[in-house]
Amino acid sequence: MTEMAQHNGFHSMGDLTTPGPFPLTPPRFPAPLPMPAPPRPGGGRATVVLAVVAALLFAAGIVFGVLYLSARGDHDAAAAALTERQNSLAEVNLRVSSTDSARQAADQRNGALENENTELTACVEAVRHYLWDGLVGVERDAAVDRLFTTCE
Amino acid sequence: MNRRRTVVLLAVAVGLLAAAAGLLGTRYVMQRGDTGAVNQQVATTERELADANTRLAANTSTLDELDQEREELENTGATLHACADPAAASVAAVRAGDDTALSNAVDLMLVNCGR
Repeated sequence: MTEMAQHNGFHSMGDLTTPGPFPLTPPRFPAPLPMPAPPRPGGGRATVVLAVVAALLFAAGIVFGVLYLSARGDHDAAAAALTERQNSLAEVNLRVSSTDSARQAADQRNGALENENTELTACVEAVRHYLWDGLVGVERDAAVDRLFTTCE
Repeated sequence: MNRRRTVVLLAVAVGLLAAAAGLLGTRYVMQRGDTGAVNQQVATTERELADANTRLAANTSTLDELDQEREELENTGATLHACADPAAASVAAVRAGDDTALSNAVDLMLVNCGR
């Protein structure tokens, strides 16, 4: 493992993040003194690339942060809307069931009234037949019988 | 030495920023997914609400009709009673042999049982 690291340190200058003082001394020592140009392409470029990446990531973080906050606002709004709709639904359902039972009661009541009216109509028809149809004799007796059975 | 430190610091900063951006990005996506689910629930609830309102409106109009029907039945019933009640009274009077009651009942029948 250490052999490998040393080996890498000698040959690749790109691996600058791993602290390896020994393998990196040869290229760094002579470079800064005579001319600052040669090490720049190595270390300078890494710095620039990292700085650019950091800036991009920072921007991305800001963007995602803003997006997240706005998404959270949307979520809160949606949750509030859901609660409101659910409350309305519960209320309407309650009214539906109350009108359902009212309808049933009204149906029953109207049915009873209809039955009663049917019975009364039979009596009234019998009375009218007896009173106004100018009956005599057997027909009249039959009409009286019908009046008695339907009106009693 | 300085540049090395800068690079290391920048690398650390890049790592932290990447983690932060990743976290925020993930939370954003998850939050949006949650909101989508909630919005779907809202849509479902709204459909149910519309159905319930339709049923409520139907029930209300049916109740109105039934009420009107009841009124008509009661009116008809009142007319029928006006004739049928004295008729029943006349039958009872005949059974009881009450001539006065019979006469009164028949008078009412003549008035209320016309055609």
